[in-house]
Amino acid sequence: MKKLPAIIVSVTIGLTVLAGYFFQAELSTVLSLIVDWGILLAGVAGLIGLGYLAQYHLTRLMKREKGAFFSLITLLVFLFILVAGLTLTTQNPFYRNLILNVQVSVEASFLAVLAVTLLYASLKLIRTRGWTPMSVGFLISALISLVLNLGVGMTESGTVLGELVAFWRRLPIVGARGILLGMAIGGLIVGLRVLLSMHRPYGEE
Amino acid sequence: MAGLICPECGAENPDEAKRCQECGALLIEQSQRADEQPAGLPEDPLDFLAQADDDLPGLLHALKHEDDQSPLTDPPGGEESVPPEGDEHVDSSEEPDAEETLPEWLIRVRQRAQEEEDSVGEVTQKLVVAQDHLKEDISTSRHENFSSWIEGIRDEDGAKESQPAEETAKKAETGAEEAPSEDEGWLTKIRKMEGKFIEETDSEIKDTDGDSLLQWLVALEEGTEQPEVLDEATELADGAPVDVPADDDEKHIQQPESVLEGDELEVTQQMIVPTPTLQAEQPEPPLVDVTRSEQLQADQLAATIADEKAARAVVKSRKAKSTWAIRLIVAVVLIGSVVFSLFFREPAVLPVAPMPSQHEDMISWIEELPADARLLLVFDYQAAYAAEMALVAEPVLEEVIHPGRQLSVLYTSPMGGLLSQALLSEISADRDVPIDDLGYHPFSAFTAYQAGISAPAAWVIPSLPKSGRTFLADDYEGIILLSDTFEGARVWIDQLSALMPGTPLNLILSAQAGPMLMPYYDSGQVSGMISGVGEARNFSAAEGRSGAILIRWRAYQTGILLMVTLIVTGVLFSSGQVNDEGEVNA
Repeated sequence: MKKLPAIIVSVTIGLTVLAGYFFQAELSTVLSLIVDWGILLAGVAGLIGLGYLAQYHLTRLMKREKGAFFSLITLLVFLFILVAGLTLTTQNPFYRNLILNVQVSVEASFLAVLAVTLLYASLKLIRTRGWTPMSVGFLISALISLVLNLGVGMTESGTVLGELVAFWRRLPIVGARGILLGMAIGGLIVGLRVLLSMHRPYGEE
Repeated sequence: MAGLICPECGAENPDEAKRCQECGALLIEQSQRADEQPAGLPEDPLDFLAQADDDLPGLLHALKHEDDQSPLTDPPGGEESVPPEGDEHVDSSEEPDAEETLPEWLIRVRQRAQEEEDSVGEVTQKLVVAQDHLKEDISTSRHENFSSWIEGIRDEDGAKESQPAEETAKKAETGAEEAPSEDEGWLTKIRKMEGKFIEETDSEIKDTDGDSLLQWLVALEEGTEQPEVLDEATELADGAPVDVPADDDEKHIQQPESVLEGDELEVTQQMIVPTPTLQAEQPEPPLVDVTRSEQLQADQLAATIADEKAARAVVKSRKAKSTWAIRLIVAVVLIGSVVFSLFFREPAVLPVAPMPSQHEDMISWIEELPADARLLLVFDYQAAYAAEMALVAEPVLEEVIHPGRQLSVLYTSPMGGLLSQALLSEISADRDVPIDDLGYHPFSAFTAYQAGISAPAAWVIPSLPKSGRTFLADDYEGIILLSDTFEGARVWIDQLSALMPGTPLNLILSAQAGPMLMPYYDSGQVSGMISGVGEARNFSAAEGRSGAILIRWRAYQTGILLMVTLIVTGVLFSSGQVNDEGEVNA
């Protein structure tokens, strides 16, 4: 019985949003309001997550657990950025450079580490799995993609090399199309299950 | 009776002899005393279990009495004693009543057994305990035979008791002739069940599973019963655990004792000691209500455990060698090569490579844009991809952003605001282009949907609050999506192609997202697209532009070459390790 209101709300909104694809002019006002509410709820959820994270680090700091020093740094930086963002706004050059020069560099470094990790994992693939068709195919595909991104072999279409390069360039699209078809069918089924209340991701099953 | 035994010398004499043929002692009293003594009871209580043929009727008789009446001293009248078997039976007409037949010592023993559990009546107690246990275990089918047999005897006795006294008396008179035939039948069955007839086949032995107590009684009677059986029966009655044999055989078959007489091997005895009571003590599995999800979880857990226990090729862990010098050299070579390549610029004029169709379509769309076009820019990439996205987007936005055009910007990543400002400030620094910031929208799906349905409302609901934002208040001439992932771009393509198929959608993508989104271009849902630094370089070359792409392109190529070299070297090195270990491919 507790689930009944949630089911009614979700199914009603789902059907309304679905109808918006066919009756845009008639439902545009209601749909805009529904989307605004959804964005507002998402923002509140983000605030709750932020508070939970702050509470976690505060607890570690109060209990003097292992790594409490890093929790202290996290909280201090969080408070500093929060106050700076509220007072300076994103239009301020200092605030913008502060965020970009730290955030972009850190995330780019993580991405570089990820690239090296993937490289090492590909090498481990041979050591753990040996020379199997899958491992060999994976390595050959990676090498071909990298070489094609070098810009070599860019010849006019109509030549043998040009056709071969074009073939290799379009080969990933074959796999991508299959993946997209699978995702589309899966999304369609999940959507129908939610609309028919057979699947309830908003509460316990 | 075989004859008269001399009390003096122990010699055997004929029945009609009055004096011993050996020592001449008088045998009359011995003969009279033997005639007066009841046939079913032994004189010596210690011989109670040893004399098999005489003891069995007594024991069965005692069993019946214990079930039918509580006081042993008050046997029911008219009850017939169980006749002995075979040719040694005694006519029931000659057998006195039970009260008269039972000796005084036996009556005292039974009374004491009733009063004190640990008294002399151990055999009687075990009989009672075993029988009670047998009654309780009605679920065991093997016991049902014996129980039904006991019940049959009781019913038969009850029927006999209900008969009129005249009939009973009449039957008592004729019992001398009828009893032997009746008794011979059930006693023969007992003997057959007991296994005394060695011609009994194995299948017949299995059929006697349910007569365990009966077999045990006869075994007691013959003095061949093993004491462990008594102990097990006592333990079972007390509820004590009993070790169940490892094999699931329903009975222990004691091999027949063989006595070698001359050249013949005579099987003298075959005792079958079934253990149904042991299995009957095992508790029944409890009824557990298991749902389907729990069953699936249990199956998954079982499969996981089985998978963990599965045999796999084991790769021996080897101690890490001190390869810090090698790692240091590799790191220096990598970083040094990329940095050094930054000093080598591309030539001022890039070689023009063949233009893919998606590039040509994007260039065509840009060229066809009106001078006062309104464009929507969607920033959907993270800070980590900012450098790559800036390289890819710069040549396109340089062509798009011109004075007189209006730009609206929204972003779906938390860093999108700052990233968009950083990118657009470099391009539009010297251009007077108004930029409308639509803000941050946390979910791409919501934002794309709202952008698509922002058509003028045909119906006005008075009390309904109005949304504060209108993405497409005026029709845009085109939408440019900057995305670093396939998922983010797919949402926008799906929503906008369904809600506003007439609006051109162009994509500026990272290298990882491009191949996955090519099918959308092939299907016509996307007007044009460009992905990765390599395509951006070709786009710049086709447009005859120069910029940051000329500086970064060499470093980009160097980095990819190093990656290819490392992969090839590592594969070869790993292949050598595999061959040395020789166990990976096993």
